[in-house]
Amino acid sequence: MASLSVKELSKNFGKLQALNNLNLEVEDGEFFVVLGPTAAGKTTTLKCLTGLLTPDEGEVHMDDEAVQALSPAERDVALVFQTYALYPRKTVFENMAFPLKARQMSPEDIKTRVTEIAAKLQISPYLDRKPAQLSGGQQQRVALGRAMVRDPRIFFMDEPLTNLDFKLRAEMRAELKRQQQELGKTFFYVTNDQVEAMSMADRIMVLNQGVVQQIDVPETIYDDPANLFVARFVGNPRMNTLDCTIDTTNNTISGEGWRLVLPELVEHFAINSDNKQSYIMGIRAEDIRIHRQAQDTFFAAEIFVTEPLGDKTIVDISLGDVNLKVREEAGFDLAVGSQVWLELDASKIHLFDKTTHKSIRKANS
Amino acid sequence: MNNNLSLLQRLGFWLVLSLVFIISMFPLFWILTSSFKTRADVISTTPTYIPFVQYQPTLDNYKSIFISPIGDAAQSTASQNISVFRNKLLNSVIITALSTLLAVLIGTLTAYAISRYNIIAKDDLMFFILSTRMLPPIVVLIPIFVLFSNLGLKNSYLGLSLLYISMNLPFVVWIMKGFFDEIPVEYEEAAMIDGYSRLQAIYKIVIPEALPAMAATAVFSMIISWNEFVFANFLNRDAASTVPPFLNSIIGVGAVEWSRLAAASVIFVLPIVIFTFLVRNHLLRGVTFGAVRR
Amino acid sequence: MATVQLRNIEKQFAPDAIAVKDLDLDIADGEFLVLLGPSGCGKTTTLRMIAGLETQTQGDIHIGNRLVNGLPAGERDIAFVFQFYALYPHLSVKDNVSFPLRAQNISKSEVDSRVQDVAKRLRIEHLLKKKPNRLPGGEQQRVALARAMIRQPQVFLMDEPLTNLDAELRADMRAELKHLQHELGTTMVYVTHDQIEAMSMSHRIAVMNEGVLQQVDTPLNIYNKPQTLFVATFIGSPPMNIIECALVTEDSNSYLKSDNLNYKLPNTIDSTSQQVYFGIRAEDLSVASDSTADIKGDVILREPLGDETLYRIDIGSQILNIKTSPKVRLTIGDTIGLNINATNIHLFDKESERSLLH
Repeated sequence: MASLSVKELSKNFGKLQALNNLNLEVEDGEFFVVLGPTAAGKTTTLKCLTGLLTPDEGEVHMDDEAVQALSPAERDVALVFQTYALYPRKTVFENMAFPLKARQMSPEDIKTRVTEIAAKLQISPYLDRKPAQLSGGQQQRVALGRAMVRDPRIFFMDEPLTNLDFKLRAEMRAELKRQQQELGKTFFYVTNDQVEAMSMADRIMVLNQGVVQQIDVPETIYDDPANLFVARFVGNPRMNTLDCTIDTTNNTISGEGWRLVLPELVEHFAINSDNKQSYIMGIRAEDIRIHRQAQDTFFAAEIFVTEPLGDKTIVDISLGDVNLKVREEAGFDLAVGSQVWLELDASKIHLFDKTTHKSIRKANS
Repeated sequence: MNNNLSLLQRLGFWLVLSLVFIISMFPLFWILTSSFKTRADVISTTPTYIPFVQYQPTLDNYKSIFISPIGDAAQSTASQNISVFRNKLLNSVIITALSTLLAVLIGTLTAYAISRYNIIAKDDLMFFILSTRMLPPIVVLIPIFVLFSNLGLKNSYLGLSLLYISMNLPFVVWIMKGFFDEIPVEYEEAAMIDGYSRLQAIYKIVIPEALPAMAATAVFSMIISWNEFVFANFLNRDAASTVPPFLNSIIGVGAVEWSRLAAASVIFVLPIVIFTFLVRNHLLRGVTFGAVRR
Repeated sequence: MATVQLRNIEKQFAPDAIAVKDLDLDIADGEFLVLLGPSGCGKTTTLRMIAGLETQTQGDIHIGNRLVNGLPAGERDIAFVFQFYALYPHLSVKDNVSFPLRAQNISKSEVDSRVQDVAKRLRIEHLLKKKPNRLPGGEQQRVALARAMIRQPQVFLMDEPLTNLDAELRADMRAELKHLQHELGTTMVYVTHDQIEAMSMSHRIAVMNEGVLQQVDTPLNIYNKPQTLFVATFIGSPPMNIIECALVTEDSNSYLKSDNLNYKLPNTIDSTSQQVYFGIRAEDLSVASDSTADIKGDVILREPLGDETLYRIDIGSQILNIKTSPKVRLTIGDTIGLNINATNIHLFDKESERSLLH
C-alpha cells in the first residue's frame, strides 16, 4: 500500500510539450483515474510515474520515498497494459509466475501464490492454457493476476478495458472496482472513457494537452466542471453549450432565439457589473424539458430527430443554428420538424468565460 | 532516444558511421577518380587522390570508349569493333528495359489475382513460384543453353529478356502480393458498386495505389537484369551481347587499360543510379508500406 | 427508392460454415432498417448479398420489383458505405465524390452541380480540393456519404459506418444520419453491432444471431417485448438481469420461485414450462423498504454516471444491476429491498429461450 505524490512534473518530446507542471496527490488505497482524450499526456504521465520515461523536471514520491532515480523494477509497482502484454509462448500459470521467478521465490511458494490469486480471479481452470486460447475478458484477468501476484505498492493501469467489447467492459469495470476495494490497494488508472472514469474512480483527474483541468470526485466533475473542456468531455450526451449575453440590469441571460431570467444571477456567478457581457452557457440534456405548448418562460425550437434508447429518449432539437440534446422519458416521440417549446432549469446552468473557458459559477451555489 | 546520448556517445556514433562509410565507398571513389586519370596516372605506383593537385583530370577516357575499341578488340579487327562499347550498352538497355517492364507488368497482375481470388492451393502456388529462385543459376545453365540453342533463342534480345523475366517474376509476385494484401479490398468493391468493371477498378484505383511498390520492384528487377553475368556470357556471345561479359573480357589479355575500363564501369553504373534517384520517393513508400494503412 | 425483399436466403461459405440460414426479410420503401447482432452473426454477409458483393447459396433477392440474383453490384443501383470509408487516397475529395458519376455518361456541368449539391448538404464544400487521408474521421465519413448520395441510388447500404469515430462524433453523426435519411426518403439498410445506434436511428431493427433472424420490430418493441432471451440480453445497457427460476401455479396464481425469490406474477401464466428465465431490466427494479420488498440483497458496488447511477446488488445466488436517479444514495454493504415493476417483466422458456409473454 502506498500513497503517491507528484510535484511539478514536466516532460517534453522535442518541441512537443507532453506534460506541463503536473501536481497531484493520491491517497493510500485510492482509486485514482486519469481521464483525457488521445494525446492528452495520460500515458506519458503513467510512464513517468512507473519509471519507463524520465521526466525533464519534477519529483515523484511513493510513501514519502523519492523514486525519480529508481528503475521501474525498483519502484515496486505493477503495470497492466492495454494489450495485456501476456507472453504468448508461456501458459497462464507461467505468465503469472514470471514476476515471482524474477524475485527468486521458491517453486512451492510460487505455486501457492499463483493458485491463490487465480482462484480470486476465477481463472483457475485455465492455468495450463496459452493466452491465445483465452477470451478477451480472461486475458484481461490473467494480466491483472500477473500484476496481483507480486503484491506491488501501486497498480498502474493503461486503458486495460479498451480492447474488450461493450458488454464485457461493463462487467470488467465492476470487477476491477471490486478487486480494488477488496485489495485496498492504490490504483492509478488511465482511460479516455468518461464512463469508466465516472463509474470506477474515487477521484478523477481530467487532463488535456498535458495540462491538468480538474481533480475531484466524479459527482463534482459532472455537476460542477471547472471549465468548458471538462464540461463537454464528461457526460453522455455531452453538455449543450450556447453563446450567450448577460445583462445584469434585468438579470437575463440570452442567446439567439432564447432568453432566461435568473434573479440570483450575480449571487451565483462571478460576473463583473458591466451591463452586457458575452459568455458561454452550458446545460445538460437532463436539465431541459420539452413542452408541446408555449409559455412565457419557454422558447420555441424544432425537433431535428428523436433517438429512442429504450430506457430513455435522446431528442435532438434545432435552436436556430445550433443543435441541443435533450433527455426525455422512454416512449417520447415527435415527428421531425415539429414545433416544441423548451424549458431550461435555471438552477442547473453553467457559465464559462469566453476567452479562458473557465467556469464562473461560485462555489456552493 | 537521441537526446539522451552524451557528447562522447554521439562522437563515437559518428566515428563508427564515418568509418563504415569510408570503407564501403572507397572502391566507388577509386573507380570514379581512375576514370578521369591518364593511363600514366592510373598505373603510377604512388596513388593520387586529389584532382588538379595530385593529377590533372581528363575526359579523354569517356570520349575514347565511345569512339575506339577497348581491350583485345583494339589489337585485332579494329575497324569492325569501332563502336563496340556503344553497341553493348544499347543491348543492355534494350534487354533490361524489356525484361523489367514485362516482369513488373506480368508479376503485378499475377500478384493481384493471387491476392484477391480464391485460388486452390494458393500457399503451395506461392511457394512453387519462390522455389524457382532457390536453385543457383549455374545449375540450370546447361539445360537452358541446350533449350535456347534448339529454339534459336541464342544471341537474341528475346531470349535473354525471357530468361530475365523468369528470374525476376517470383520476386515481383511475392512483393506485390504482400502489397495488394494490404490494400483493402473495399476499394475495388466500392468502385464496382459505383458501376465500374473489375479491370477499370484495378486501373483507376488499385494501380495508382500500387505505384510505389511497382517502382520498388522495378528498381530491383532492373538491377538484377542489368548486372546479370553468367547467362549473358554464355547465351549471347555474338549478337545482342551485354555489357557485364564485355567488361570482364577486357581484363586478362595483354595490358589492361584501367582508366578506360573505369570510365566504362562508371557509365555502366550510371543508369541504375539515375533511375533509382528518379523513383526514390516511391521507393521509400514502397519499402515502408504496410502497418500504417487503415 | 425501392423496397428490398429477401426470400429464403441461405449463405454457405464451406460445408460446415453456414453464415445465414433461411432468411426472410421485407424492407419497405423509404424504411431505415438496421441489421443488428454480434460479430459473426451474418449481418454483414446479408448486406453484401443485397449489394451483390457476395452471392447467396440459395434464395431470391428483389430490389424494387426486380429480381437481382446474379446481377453484378454495379447494375443494382445501390450505394454502399464501408466501415473504413474506402476513400481513394490518390484522388481529391471532389474526385472521390464525383467518381461514381464518371462511370456514367454525365456532362461535366451536371457532375459539378451535383457535387456542389451534396457537398453543401453534407457541409464539405471547403474540403473539395483536399486529399481524403489528411481529413479527420468525421469529415472522411461525410465524404463517404457524399459519394454514396451523389448517384441518387435506390437503396443505401451501410456497413458499420460510425464504428471508427470517437464517441462524441458518433453521437452527432447518429442524429445527422437519421435526419438525412428522413429528408432523402431513400431506403436504408444499415449494419451495426452497436445497439445504441440500432435503437436510436432505425424504423425497425432486425436482430440476428448465428445466422438466424431473431426478431424484426420497432426499437421500442425490441426493447420492451423481446421475443427471445438473446434479444432481451443483447439490447439494453446494463444488460437485462436474468434469474433462473421455477414457474409454479398455486391456487390459480402463478409464482416465480428460486432460492432468493418468491414472486407472484400479476397475471396467471398458462404454460407447460416449468423452468424459466425471469428477465427484469435495471430500471425496472426500484429501492423499497424491507417489509414490502420483492427481493433483498446487499449493495456491493456503486457506479455514478452523472445523469444516473448504477448499483450492483448481491442477492446471494447472483448479482443484479439496478439503475437509479443520481439523487438515490445507497451505502456499500447495506442490505436493501428491491421492488419489481410488474408491468415490465419478461419470461423465457428455459428450453426454447422464447418469450412466454410477448
